[in-house]
Amino acid sequence: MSVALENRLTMLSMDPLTTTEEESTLAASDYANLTAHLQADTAGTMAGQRVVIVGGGVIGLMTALYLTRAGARVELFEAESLGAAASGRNAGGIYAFGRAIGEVALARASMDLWEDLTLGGLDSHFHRPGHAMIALNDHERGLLDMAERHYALAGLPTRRLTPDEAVAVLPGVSPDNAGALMGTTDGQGYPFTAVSSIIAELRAAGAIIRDHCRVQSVIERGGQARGVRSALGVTEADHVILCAGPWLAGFSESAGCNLAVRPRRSQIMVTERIAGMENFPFVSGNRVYARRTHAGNIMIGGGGPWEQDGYNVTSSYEALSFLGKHMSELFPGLAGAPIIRAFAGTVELTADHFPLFGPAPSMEGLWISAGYNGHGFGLCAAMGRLTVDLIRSGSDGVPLPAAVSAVVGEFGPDRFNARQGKQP
Amino acid sequence: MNDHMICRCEDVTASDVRAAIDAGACNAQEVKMRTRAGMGPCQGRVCRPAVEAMVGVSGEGVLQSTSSMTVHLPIRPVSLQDLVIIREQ
Repeated sequence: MSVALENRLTMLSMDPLTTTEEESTLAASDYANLTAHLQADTAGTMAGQRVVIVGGGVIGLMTALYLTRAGARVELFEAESLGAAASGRNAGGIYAFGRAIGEVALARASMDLWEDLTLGGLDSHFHRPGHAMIALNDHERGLLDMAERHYALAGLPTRRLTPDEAVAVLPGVSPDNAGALMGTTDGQGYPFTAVSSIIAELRAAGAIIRDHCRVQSVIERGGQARGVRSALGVTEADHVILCAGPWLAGFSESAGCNLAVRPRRSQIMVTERIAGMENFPFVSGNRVYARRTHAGNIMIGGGGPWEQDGYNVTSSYEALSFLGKHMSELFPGLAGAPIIRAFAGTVELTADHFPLFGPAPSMEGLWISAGYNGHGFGLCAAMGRLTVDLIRSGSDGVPLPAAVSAVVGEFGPDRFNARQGKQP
Repeated sequence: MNDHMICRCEDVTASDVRAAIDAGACNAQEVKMRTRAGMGPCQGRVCRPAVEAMVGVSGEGVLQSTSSMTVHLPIRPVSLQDLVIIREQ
């Protein structure tokens, strides 16, 4: 009699049983085509266009950065503090390994852009220590073996670790692990400095940033978005981009479609600085994930359907003890590590776990970039850059390049009006 | 005064806090996000009053937001193992 073994690889969004080899192979060519497209210089392509961005999280800020570099005159509104909701309360993961195959090309391109931005002076602490997903039973080991094949077809480099190799590479990991698979190019960054650095470049380039200023409505005349209304009055614009994350649903009426994002709490806790962990990669398994910050603390997180829906960002003992239990099983060597801080953020979930990215159906000049399912920090560079192409496809009649529509073509924000998503 | 240590845990000086305020931080939480003040082992028990006072005297912009530095669990450091015990009780 066989005992059903649990799958606790909650960071493996790709289902290796239903993903096809064709899809995986396509992810490799999508990435190659996208990379070639991203070589194009966008400077000046949006010269003179006035753009209002609603939302000062990392999606709105990164979008503002790429639009400003393309010459647009950007004015960004944030209802509260900049980069302070999920954008400042996440683990800083910038990776592709573990992602659903339909997101891999985009995630890889976004890692490359983060690297470019950092080489260009952005203070992001971006580096690529990799992401090791750790199996604790044979079922999980089998899933990782299948995932290895799919990611290889997708062109994403991985390395298989035997249980003994895992112990050598991952200090403190359970000696009873069943091996690991590591995405060797996966990266991470530090949200606080990244956000501050983007803000500094935007201000230096003349973009206007209005924090603690809530947008009340989108202004429409003659079927065209003309700007927004806020406490400051009317701000005119040629384009309005909604980057409001978990608060996007409030704009459904303006957008003319059901912008169904579900807010869910996600909690993280942080250890004291721990010496001797300098090469610690991002790790996941046993329903949790962890990473080392540049300062030397270990962050431990891992939400899931058991978490509360809504905007509550207080920490719960239930979640902290859940994280403590599962992390100390996966990494017994860290069981004595002192936890100094815990915090919670709000992730926004879509029904099919893919973003909402594209034109709003209600009016010309209204665009949506949100619904990133907790992947926004990693994806923001690619999504910000591709928003330049998106807006040009509307305003200049420049068709969306095939390399771009191949990776974002399925993300139309009105797709849930036509039919129900794959899986809630 | 600029070399005065505000946050001993994270080595943040008064001039660091001043620079954050000048760059647009308009409450203590925003100063923390820009400087790491309050993010070390004592979690702001030492630096919180100083950061809040510096934000409070900076004038422009402060009244837009009254958010103070967030107080996070746990109040004192506990180990992962201690958290497991909480779960089992």
